[in-house]
Amino acid sequence: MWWVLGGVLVAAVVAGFLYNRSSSTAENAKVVRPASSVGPHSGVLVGNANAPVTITEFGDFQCPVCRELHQLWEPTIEQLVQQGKVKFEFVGLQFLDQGTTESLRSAAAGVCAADQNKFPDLYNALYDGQSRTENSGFLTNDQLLSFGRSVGLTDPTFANCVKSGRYAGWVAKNTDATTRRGITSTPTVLLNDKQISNSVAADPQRLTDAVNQATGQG
Amino acid sequence: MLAGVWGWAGVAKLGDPDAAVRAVRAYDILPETFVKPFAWGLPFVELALAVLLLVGLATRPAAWASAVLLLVFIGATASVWARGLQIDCGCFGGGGQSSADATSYLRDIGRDGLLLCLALLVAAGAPSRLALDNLLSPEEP
Repeated sequence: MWWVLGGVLVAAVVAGFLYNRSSSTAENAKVVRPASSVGPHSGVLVGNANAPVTITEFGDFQCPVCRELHQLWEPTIEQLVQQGKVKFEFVGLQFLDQGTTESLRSAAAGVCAADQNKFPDLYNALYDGQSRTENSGFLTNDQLLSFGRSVGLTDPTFANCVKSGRYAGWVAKNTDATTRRGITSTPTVLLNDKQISNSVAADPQRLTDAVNQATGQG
Repeated sequence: MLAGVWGWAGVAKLGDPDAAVRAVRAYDILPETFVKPFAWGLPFVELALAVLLLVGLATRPAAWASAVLLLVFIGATASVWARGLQIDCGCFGGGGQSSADATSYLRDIGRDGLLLCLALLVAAGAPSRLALDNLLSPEEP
């Protein structure tokens, strides 16, 4: 009877691999590389491209800890960007989707907003207006467009970009590449490509000190 | 019961192949080459074991295979716990990062331990009267 088991299990592995590969978004979705995603980790960049320090957030718009971090560090990040010390990179990921596409579509909408030079506004709106429950069906395309309108994204180009899922394949590929490099949780924060703890990132003084140290002013 | 758990686990993982890959990567155990074959093959293996156990075909080998798979799951969970990683097991779909604590790891290991005992009981026992195994190799009168 062992041969029956062996045959069935080999067939199951092969069938499972082929079936899942054919239904994987990361494997099959059309990838449109956005002109606005020019950060070192293929994220959206905010601030002066020549700023000496890059702070990278790997985030998911459904992630409650990301929202918490956003609320804690947003004024500091904005100040550091305005001072020209920091350029901020956001890599929107599809980490919390479970048979849903809310993280995927919201991250893709963020890239659509970046194309219209409105990324920071939509980024703030998506985190500030985050649903208390993940994968609740809250982040429909209509809801994403509503967030867009609330920050002045009324251009049909944005609506078309969101509705057509223009950057969904890009986000799926980026998510795959990110987990492959060992980043398996959100938020993950890098400062000049080195991971810093979320407690440092969330503390205005410690974050500013870390940036000053990186610029040689600490 | 074992067939029901395998069936549930297999079906739950089917909907989101990308989440399955993220869940396996989060364990940080397998080399990248094996991540996708494992993540995408596992749900079908679980479904195959469910069907074999349910219809009683190759029952004992399927029970032994179940026991080995459960040992792998227990070892993997203990490994992430020991390394201080915070992940959801992805046992029934989803998986990847979470705010898992010692309690949830203990619960996962305890559940898999109970299932392991069940698998060993099936492996040690005789097939039921309705099992297909009886048709393929009927007992001598």
